[in-house]
Amino acid sequence: MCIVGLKNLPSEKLSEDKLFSELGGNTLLVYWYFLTRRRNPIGVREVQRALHFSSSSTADYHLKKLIGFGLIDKDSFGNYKVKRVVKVGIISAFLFVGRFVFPKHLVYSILTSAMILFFLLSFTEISLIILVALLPGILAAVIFWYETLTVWKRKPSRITISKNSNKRSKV
Amino acid sequence: MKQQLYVSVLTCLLLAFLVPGAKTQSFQSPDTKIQGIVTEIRYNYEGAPLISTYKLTALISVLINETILKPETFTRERNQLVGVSYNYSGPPTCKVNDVVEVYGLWVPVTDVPASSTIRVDDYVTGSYVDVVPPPPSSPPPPSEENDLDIASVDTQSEYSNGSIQYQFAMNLWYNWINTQGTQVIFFAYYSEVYNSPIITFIGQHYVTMDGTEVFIGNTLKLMEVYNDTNKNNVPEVNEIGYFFLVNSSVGFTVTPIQKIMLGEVAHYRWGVKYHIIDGFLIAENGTGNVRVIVEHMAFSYDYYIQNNVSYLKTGFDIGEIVSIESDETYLTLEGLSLSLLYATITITPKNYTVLVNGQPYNSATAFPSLLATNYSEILLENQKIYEFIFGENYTLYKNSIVESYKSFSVASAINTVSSNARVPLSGLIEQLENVLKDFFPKISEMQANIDLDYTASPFVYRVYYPTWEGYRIKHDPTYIAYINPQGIPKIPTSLPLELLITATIIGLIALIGAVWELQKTKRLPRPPLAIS
Repeated sequence: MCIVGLKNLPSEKLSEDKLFSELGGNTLLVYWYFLTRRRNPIGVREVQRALHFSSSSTADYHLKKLIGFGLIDKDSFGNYKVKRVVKVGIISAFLFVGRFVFPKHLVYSILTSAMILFFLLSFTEISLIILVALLPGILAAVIFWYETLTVWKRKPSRITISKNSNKRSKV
Repeated sequence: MKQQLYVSVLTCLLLAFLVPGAKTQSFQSPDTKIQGIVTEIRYNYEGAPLISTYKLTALISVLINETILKPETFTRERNQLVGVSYNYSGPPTCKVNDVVEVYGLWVPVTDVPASSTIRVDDYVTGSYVDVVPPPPSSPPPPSEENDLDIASVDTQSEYSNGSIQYQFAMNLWYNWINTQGTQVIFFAYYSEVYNSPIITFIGQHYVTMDGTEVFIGNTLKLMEVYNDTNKNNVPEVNEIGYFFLVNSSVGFTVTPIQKIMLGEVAHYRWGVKYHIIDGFLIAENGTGNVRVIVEHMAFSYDYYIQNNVSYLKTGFDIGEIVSIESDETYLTLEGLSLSLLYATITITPKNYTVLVNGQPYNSATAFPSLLATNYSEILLENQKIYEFIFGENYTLYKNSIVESYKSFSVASAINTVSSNARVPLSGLIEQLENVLKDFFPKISEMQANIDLDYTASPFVYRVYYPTWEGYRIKHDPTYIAYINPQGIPKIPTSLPLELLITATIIGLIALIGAVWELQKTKRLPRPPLAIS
């Protein structure tokens, strides 16, 4: 079991490679929460409530870690705000649009599916030769949808972490 | 003055004595017969000093098409020019571009081969330069390679028209309608070069009330001139004197298809017209033909749908025969009648029956061979799908008098059509079949054996006009189809290759991208766990 402690935090900005190895678990979950609310300053209590932490000190712990990574900042009112957006690990597989988060593969999936639909509608009859011609596109669409689902399932969430934690506990 | 005259006469006599060609001619036999096209005629030898002994009225240049008879010394071949020295007292009757037959004496000039000519004059017994009348059917035979670009017919549009070319000078004018689940195609031959007889075809594709696909076509096969000698008002086989073939090579104009709303009903109207056309009255027994000039010949159509019935009103306008070019001065059209012979083609996956006067009919086996009818129909498993309305009046324009007469129709057995009628048309009919075979998959997925020969038609019929005598006739028979507007058949389209290639290329690029992304996603580790 790996515990990332405060004592290991470097004072300077960490490189993305380093962050990739350091950012994980609940800290990632907190950062994820900040990314979905990038424009608003967020307090410790809000983080605790939103992510169902047992105490505000737990939230504070992860926030300090993120400050240490140079990813968030604390203002004079004691609220926190995203300072730096890093696309590392699972974060790189998602697109953040306002409060919405979705796998970037979803865009590819929709584009390829629309393309297949367009070609299918262009041909008034469906013959074997048309299916063969469309086969690469259909395969691409299937792969993109599969990736979309896979990535979506890997989205950091409180439940996932709990489940994984339980599994680890049993082991 | 007198002295000058003496000198002139003396000079002429001296020249006549010295020039061998100017010697008195003896009668000779022609030895060369060719056929070819006149490329040039020069008349400038008329009035030359040697006129009294060797009177050359014209030098005709002929491009050889065929050498029928030749002596050993005749060296010219097909597609080479040969001069014809024409020495009769009058000018030749041929003109440039006429096809002529030349029968004369080959006079080789060994020193100057280009000066060798075929002599045609009084001293070459029986020699002549005759214009060969164009045959009634001289289009090129259908080539194995079909040059008609059927793909140019825009079957996706509601209506369209245009021209598609067959070889280099033979064309088909088409009109296309695609509305309320029915498709109508009309073809008419025309050419600026070849004297092909006028042949039109109109076909309709639709779905019947029970959802069965049907294609029904009508071809005007032949016009027959008959003399109703027994006065029974029926064009019997032995009464048919001539086949009336009208050429399509001059003055072809079209009325482009247009959509006109009459009330709530859309009418699609179009037409074609051949102006001042020459035609032939070909003796039924094959004994010869007579060239005639016809004022015009026009076909007009009006197609519309009301409820589940489509109407095709056809308008025939056969102009007056204004000239008969015949040596047979006794030939007259007085008392003669006109009959139009049609053959139908029906394509459907189910069995169908033709009813004439309510009784099943088949032209292949029909007896009696001619059955008068005002009304015929096609049944598909006891369901009426098509009607032929006959017996309407026609208008005869006799000089300034306009008269109306009743037209008649007979369902005709195949054996009532003279086998001589098939010869001049077979090439064009075969070509039309090829066109339809190429075109048919654009409107239907039915497997069709397209045979436009009247011998394959289950329903051959004649519409005839007892009072004709070569005057102008206008007639508007109607065809009715019972359609199912809901059963719109899907018009198959040919695969657009560009679209297919584009789809494949884009698909491949997307696939490469997808596989690349898949590998990247696999490399993504799960986020390291933390204990909260």
